[in-house]
Order: sequence, then structure tokens, then C-alpha cells
Amino acid sequence: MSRKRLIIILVAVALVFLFFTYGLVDLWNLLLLQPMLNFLILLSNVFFSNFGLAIIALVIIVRLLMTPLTLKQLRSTKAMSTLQPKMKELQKKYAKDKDKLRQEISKLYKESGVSPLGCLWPMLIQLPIWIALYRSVLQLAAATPEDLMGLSSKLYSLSAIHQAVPLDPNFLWLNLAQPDSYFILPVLVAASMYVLQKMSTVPSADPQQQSMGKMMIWMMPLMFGFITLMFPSGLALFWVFSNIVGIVTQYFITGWGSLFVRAPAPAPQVAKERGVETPEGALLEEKLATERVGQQEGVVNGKSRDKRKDRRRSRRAGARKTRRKP
Amino acid sequence: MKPKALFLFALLIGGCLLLSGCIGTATPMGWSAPVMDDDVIYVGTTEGKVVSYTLFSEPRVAVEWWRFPSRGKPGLGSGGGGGGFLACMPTATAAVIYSTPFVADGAVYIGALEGKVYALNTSSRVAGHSFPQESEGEWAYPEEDFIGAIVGSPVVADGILYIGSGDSNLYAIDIATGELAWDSPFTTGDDIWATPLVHDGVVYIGSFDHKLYAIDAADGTAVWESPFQTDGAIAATPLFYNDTIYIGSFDRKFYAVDTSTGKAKEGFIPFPAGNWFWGGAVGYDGTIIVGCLDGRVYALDAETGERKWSFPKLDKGPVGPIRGGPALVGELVIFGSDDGKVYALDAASGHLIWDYPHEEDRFGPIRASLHAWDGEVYVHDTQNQELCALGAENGNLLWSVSTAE
Repeated sequence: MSRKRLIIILVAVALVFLFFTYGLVDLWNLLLLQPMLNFLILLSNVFFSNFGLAIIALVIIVRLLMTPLTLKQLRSTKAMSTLQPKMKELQKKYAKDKDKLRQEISKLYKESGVSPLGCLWPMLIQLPIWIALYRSVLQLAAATPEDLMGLSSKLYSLSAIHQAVPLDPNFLWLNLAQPDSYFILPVLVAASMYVLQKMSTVPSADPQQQSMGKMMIWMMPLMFGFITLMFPSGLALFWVFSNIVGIVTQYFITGWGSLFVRAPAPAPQVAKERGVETPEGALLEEKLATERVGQQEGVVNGKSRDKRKDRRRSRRAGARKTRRKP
Repeated sequence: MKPKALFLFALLIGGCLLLSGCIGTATPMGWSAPVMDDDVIYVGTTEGKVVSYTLFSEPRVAVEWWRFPSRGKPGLGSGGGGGGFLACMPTATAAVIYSTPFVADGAVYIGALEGKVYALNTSSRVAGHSFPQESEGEWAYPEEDFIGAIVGSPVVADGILYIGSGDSNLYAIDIATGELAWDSPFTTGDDIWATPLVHDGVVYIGSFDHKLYAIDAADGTAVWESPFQTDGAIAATPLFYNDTIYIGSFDRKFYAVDTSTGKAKEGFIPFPAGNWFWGGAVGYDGTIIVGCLDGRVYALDAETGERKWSFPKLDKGPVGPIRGGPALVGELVIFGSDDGKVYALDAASGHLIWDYPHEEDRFGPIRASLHAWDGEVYVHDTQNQELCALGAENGNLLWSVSTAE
């Protein structure tokens, strides 16, 4: 058994044991919420009792700890882009055999050492952190007296921690326990997420992937910007700075990436075969339609109808030969 | 990863975040304690209303007398108990009352979380007149706008009402006019969630800036050279006993302060507990009895701070956190706990005399202070929106009434 597999099994066993000893809620409190709460308080102490600065410091620490994963993800994304031509070949070759196609794709990933889920890990790991941070911000900023009272049972027995609460929720124009009433943070979250996504997305020549990718680049920032409208601004602050750190990291590794690059347009014939409208295809259609109208009137450009019929037949025959099924 | 799958995953993340915010969020419920005056009980409710109940002797029942704002109208404060898109975001302006009413001469004074202080006239409220009836001494302060969130309770002495606010100020309001009695409010370094104590012309108040202040009740000037400094936020009500002020703090210590100097009382060693002190204390026969959020009640020597007894004993597990102040009835000290039980102890020895209820989940967490009158102890269960009376001697349930509309 490999060492990696052994570690995973040991961690899983420990988690199961803790679950049955403490139950899910207590386990969550023990492993995530309490450490997050107490760490944020200690960070606040370091940063002049400033809760906002403590959140920003937490972003930097979390991102630093996740650097190996982030690098792995970036490499995976880069590697995925180099595999695109090979993937296309496989799709052409096994267009009629989906099972074989899946097998070959899987083999290709394995041989090149790329994980299709590589981009997921940073998000997966950050998700419980976001949730723990959300709950921490609400309790630390004492949005209600019940929150403050609940906080008392989650603090470690360190004087420095008890002396620091409750934290001042005010930071710049924000109340960190409340949504941003000026809507600046939702805009910043959406904008920074857009930039980061655009920088890290590899443009695809496949029109279907392209359109999906375009939608994703807009939808996700808009969605997160919308969610930010409802969430405490402490969490929004975390997201903005997390994205900014991500942009800076991405820049040093891959430069601006696709931020200022337009996605390549697919070939008109290829687009037509796939039933996709392109500017070139539209022009071609218009030309054909004009010719068709002219033929109905008898003569077009001095040529007789019969001869034009023959030419059309041959054109159609040629197109049929090259047309492929989608 | 395919964009479609990534998009769906992003939706999942957003959903998880939203749900996590909704599940387990502390809903503000308030912890207004009931007070009795002339066979009428007054209490603030979880819906942001002030309700009064008349007590009848035979049978012993409590019947609602008036409610402000009246039935069908929204409670004092905006939002009605929560806020945000899915009502998952608690807000400080929810319609809920933490303040305990202060009753004097037919008037009821109360602070609402929204940041307003109200003076209500009983006759006007019974008649259902619109608010405020200024000729009957009713007012709201401030008239327009709001001050900071009010969590502590008002205290009236010599025609002036004193109340702390989340904007760091202690306000003194003339109850005849509803206007400020001092030139300006007394400002501390942080939020004031505590209830003031007025004794002998001096107002004692604790603040989240870790300090206990003594302020001249007449003009709002500081009495001590410097306020008494602790190492944690102060939310508890001070106790005056034997010329000494006793106060607990969030630094988990209980202090005694010399009223003349504002310094620590000589010979009294601050008592360290397991968690914050939030509720008030009572004095009994040279002993200070106080509850703590570590789930224990401590009896301390008033001169030295030495622990005389604790309940439960230190070798036993605690009960739930104790936030409210206890009630002293004869030789019994009675308090409520977050575990949903009321405990009556012998004040001299700390032995348990009775507890109520015996069935589980009868009460929710009891965070409001208890009030005792004429052999009865009044308990406000805010989670179940219930007000009830227990016999002080044996803990039997005498009556209960719902505070909900």
C-alpha cells in the first residue's frame, strides 16, 4: 500500500472515530469553527484590534498554505490545454463509440498525469473555510446578543482571547457582520472573480466549449456578486482579497493568460456542419440565397437557368460528400 | 474540467453557503425579565411588544391587560425578527426586546433593540389611544431617528431615567419631558449593554471598553478620578452591597470596587471562574451570590472573595450557562439556566432545594433574570414565548400564560 493511501485511510478512520464520539455538529465546531474563531481573534490582537485586517491576513495565510494545490491546479489547467488536439483526434476517431472514447480519454489523462478534477481541489478545500469564516464573522461581530453569548462557549481558555471580545465589527465603511449597504463589495467580488477566471481559462477552438466557457466566465462572477449582496461584508472582504491574491499568483505563473485575448473563431465550414452560426457562414448563406432568388427569375449574371442548375447540383453533391454527422 | 460541471459545482457552493447561513443562525429572541407592580406583571416579548398581565387571586391566573404596540401592529423595531434575503441574516434592528421594563407611578419605561426608549402610560394603553399621549407623560426618545441598540434595561431615580446604548453613551432622560437631562450623554469607549445601578446620587455602569464608571446622577460628570479597569468587556449589572460595588467581567473574574475611590477593594481577591460573568449578583448575609456562563453559581465572601460554595460542586458537571440575575426569596436563591431549568438553592449552603421542570424540553433556555414577589417566582421562557409563575417554596407551577399574539 502506498504511503499516500495509508495517510488517507488513517485520516478517514480518525474522522469517523471523532464523528461517533462527538457527533457531526460538535465535530464541526471542534475541527473548524472553534479554531477559526480563536485564530481570527488572535490575528485581530496582532493587527491593532482590527477585525478587517485580521480577515485580510487570514486570506494571505490560507492562500499561502494552499500554494502547492494552487500550483498543481495551474499546471493541470496548462496541461489540459496541451491535450486538446489529442482529445479532438480521439473524438473524431471514436465518434460512434462513446464507451471506447471514455476509455481512451481516461488513458490519455493517466498517461499525461493530468487530473480533470485538478481545478476543483482549491475550491473544495476553501468551501468549509468559507462556511466557518461566515459563522465566525457573525459570532465575533456579535450581530445579536445571543451570538455573543454563544461565542463564550467556543473560546479557548487563553486570557488574550477573552480580553479581546467582542471585536469591533467596523472596518472602513463596512460593518463586517452586515452586508455592504453601498454595494461596493459585491461589485468588487464579481469583477475580481471575472478577471481571475478570464486569466485562467484556456480558450477552446470547440464552438460548444467556447460558448459554455463564455457563459461560465460571466455567470459565476454574477452569481457570487449576487450572493455577496446577502452575506456579511466580512465574508465578501475575504472573497475579494482571495481573488486578488489569486490574480497576482496567476500573473506570476502564466502572465495575464487569456484576459486580453479573444477566443479564436471556429472555421465557417466546421461551424456550419455543427449547425453554429458564424459571420463567415452568414455571408455564405446570404450569397447562396441571393443566387437562389436570381435563379427563380431565370438568369443570373448572364448564365442560363439549366447551367446554373447543373452547377447547384454539383455544389450540393460536393457538400454532401464533405458533410459529417454531428 | 468541463465548464458545465464547474458551473453546477459553483451553484452547489453557493447553495451550501446560503444553507449554512440559515441553519443554526442565532435568532434574536430577547431576554426581557418580568416585573411586578401592584398585581400587574409587565414584560417585553420576543415580538418586540410590551405586555401587561393582571393577576387574579381565585383562581390564580394572569390575564392580558394591554399590549403595546397593539395586536396586529408590528413590534418595536424593523424587520420583525430577522433580515436579509432569506431572513437568514440576523440584524441588530430586529423587533425584539432585551430590556426589562421599569415601572413607576403608573408609567412603564422600556428600551427597544432598535434604539429607542419608550415611556408608556398605563391608562392610555388600556384605552388603546394612539402613541404618544404627551399629556399623559408618554414619549419616545429620540423622537425621530434612533440611538444605538439597547440591550440593557432602564433605571429611574429622582425623576430621571438612565439607560446605556450600543452607541457607547449613557443617557439621562427627564421622565416628565422625554428630553435629555444632562447637557450631553456620558460617552464611554465602547458599546454599553449593561444595566446601570443608581445609588446615593451616583450612576454605576459597565461598558465593553472593559471599564466600570461612576457618574454623578445630577450632571453626568465622572465621580472617580479614573474608571475601574478590568481585562474584559462588562455587560453585568453592578451590585451595591456593604458600601462596595461588585461586578463581573468577560475576563472571567468577579471584582469588588471601593465606591469612594474607584479602586479595587482592599483584601478582596478577584474571583476567577470558567467563563464570563454576564448576569447580576445578590448579597446575602455577608455573601455575594452570582451566576456564571460556565454553568455554575458561586457564593463568595463579600470581604475576601473566597469561594464559600458553588452549585453544582466543582467535582460535578455544570448546568447550562447562567446569564440572568437570580431572585432572592427569604433564604432561597433562585436562578434560571440555559439548560431550561430553574434551580432553588439554600443561600447559606448552596444545597439544591428544588428544581423545575422535571420533564425535558418543558422550557427553552432561561436567559431572562427571575423576579420574585410574595412567594412567587416569575420566569420568562422566551423560546416558547411563555410567562409562568412557580411557587418559591416548592417550585410548583402556579400559572402560565403565552406572551405570543
